[in-house]
Amino acid sequence: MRKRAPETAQVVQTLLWYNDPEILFLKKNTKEYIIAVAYPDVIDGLDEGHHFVGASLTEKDVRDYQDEKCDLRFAMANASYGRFWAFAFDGVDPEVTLSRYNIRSEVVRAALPESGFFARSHERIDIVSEFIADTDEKFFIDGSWDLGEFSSFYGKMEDIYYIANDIRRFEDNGTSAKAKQQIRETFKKPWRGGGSYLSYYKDIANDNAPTARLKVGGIQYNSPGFVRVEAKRRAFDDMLSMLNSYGKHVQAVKESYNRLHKYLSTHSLLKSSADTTLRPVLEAQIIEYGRDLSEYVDNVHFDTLLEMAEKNVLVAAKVQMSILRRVERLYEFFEQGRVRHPSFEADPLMSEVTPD
Amino acid sequence: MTVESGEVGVAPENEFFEALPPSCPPADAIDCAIGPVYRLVASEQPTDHCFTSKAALGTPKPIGKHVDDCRWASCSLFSKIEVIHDLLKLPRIKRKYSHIAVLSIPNGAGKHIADDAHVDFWRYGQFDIRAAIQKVEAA
Repeated sequence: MRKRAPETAQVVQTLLWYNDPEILFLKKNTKEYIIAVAYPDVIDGLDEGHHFVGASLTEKDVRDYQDEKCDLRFAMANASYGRFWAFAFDGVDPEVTLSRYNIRSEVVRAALPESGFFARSHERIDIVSEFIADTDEKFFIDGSWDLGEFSSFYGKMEDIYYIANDIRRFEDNGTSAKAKQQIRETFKKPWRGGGSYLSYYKDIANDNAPTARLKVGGIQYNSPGFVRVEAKRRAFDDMLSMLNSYGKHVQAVKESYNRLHKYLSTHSLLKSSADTTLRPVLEAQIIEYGRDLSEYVDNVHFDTLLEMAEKNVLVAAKVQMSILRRVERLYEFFEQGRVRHPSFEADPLMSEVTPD
Repeated sequence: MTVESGEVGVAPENEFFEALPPSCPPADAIDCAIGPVYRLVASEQPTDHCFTSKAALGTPKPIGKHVDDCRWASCSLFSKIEVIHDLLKLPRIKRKYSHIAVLSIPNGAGKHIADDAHVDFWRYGQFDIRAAIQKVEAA
C-alpha cells in the first residue's frame, strides 16, 4: 500500500512575537486555516525548531475569533473541523509538516491558552480582510417576476461572478502555483465520469467564496424593489464588464457561439467525455472558434480557459459556451428592463448590427 | 505610563548599547523619563541579556509581515500590565518567563517610541538598564 504524503500547511502570518514566535496563522488549503500556539516543551517525533500545536478553523471560525466573539481557547477547542495538529517551525521556512493529534491528547491540552486571551492581544489576522466584501451593490427590480426568477437571476449572477474571479486569479501573476493548480483541479473534476455544469459552478463558488464571497445583503421583493449584494469590487466589475461587452456584441456573440456549437454538434462532441482524443484538425478548428468567441466578451479569454483546462480543448470550449449561456440569460433580465444597475446600461438596440 | 517632562538626554548619536541600523532610532523617538513599564523576565534577578533586542539575539524576523529593522533592534516594553497578564495566558510564555520586571526609565537613559501599550526602547551604551528596575514580581 502506498504511504500517504504527509499533510502540510503554510505559515502566512506571525500573529504574536515575544522574543520568539508565539502564535502563528497558517493556511492549509482554500477552506481550512490553522491557528497555532507555541508549545511549552518539546513534542516527541517532531523536527528541531519551535514546536506548535494548532487547530483547523473555517473562515467563519477565523472571523468569529478575530471579531472577539470568543477567546483563543474556545476558538481552538471548539473549531468546526475538530482537527488538531502539531508541527515544528524553524522561523524561516513557511511550509510545515503536520502531525495529527486528538483533542483529548495531553499535547493538545497542554498547548491550549488560558481563558481570556482575545484577538486584541495580537496582530490583526490579515486574511480576514479578504473575507470581507468591499462593495455593496444594488440592483433595482421592476416589472413582473415569477416565483423562482429571483433565484434564477441571482444564480446566474453568482456563476458569472465566481468564474470571473477564478479567471482573474488564474491570470494574476501573484497567484501561487499551488492555487493555480487547485483552479485546474476544479476545472477538470466535473468532467471526469460524467460531471455536470451544476457541480462545476458549485465547486468554483466553493473555491472562491473564502476570499471573494458574493452575498445577498437585502431583498425587497415588491416591484419596483431591489436586490442588494455584498461583493469584492474587482470580481463584481469583471462581471459587469462581461455583461457590457456582451451587450455591445449580442449578434456577433450569437453567431460565433452558434458556429462553435454547430461544429461540436456536427462532430458529436457536445456530449463527449473530457478524455475524448481529438484529431489535430478538430482541435485547431475548435481553438479558432473559441478564440473568435473570446473577442466579443471581456474576461473570457479562450487561451486562459485552455490553460485552466490543462490544454483540454473540449473542456475549455464547453466551459466557454456555458459561461456565455449564463451571461446571455443574465443580460436578458437587464435588457427586458426588469433589472437595472447604476453603472450598467442594457438596451435591446444597443448591440452592434453585424453587416450582411 | 507617565512621560515626565524634563531635560532631554544629551548622549551623542551612535552611542547606543546595541549596533543600530542607519537612521535608528527614528527622528520622532524621544529621550525622556517613562514609567512604569513592564517586561517579562526569566529570573527574579534579571540580567542584561533579559533586555537584549531580537536583532542582537539574531532572531529571524516574523513571516508575513514587514518588520522595521530599527524596531527589531529595540527592547520591547509594555506600559500596561494587562498586556503582560494576557501574554502569560499563553503556555510557552508562562513556562519561559517566571517574573515581571517593573521599570522606571529616567531621562538620559535612551530614546523611545510609545504607541498604545507598547514601547520600543533604544538604550544608550553607558546606561545600565538594571538600575531602572523598581521591582521584580512573580508572574
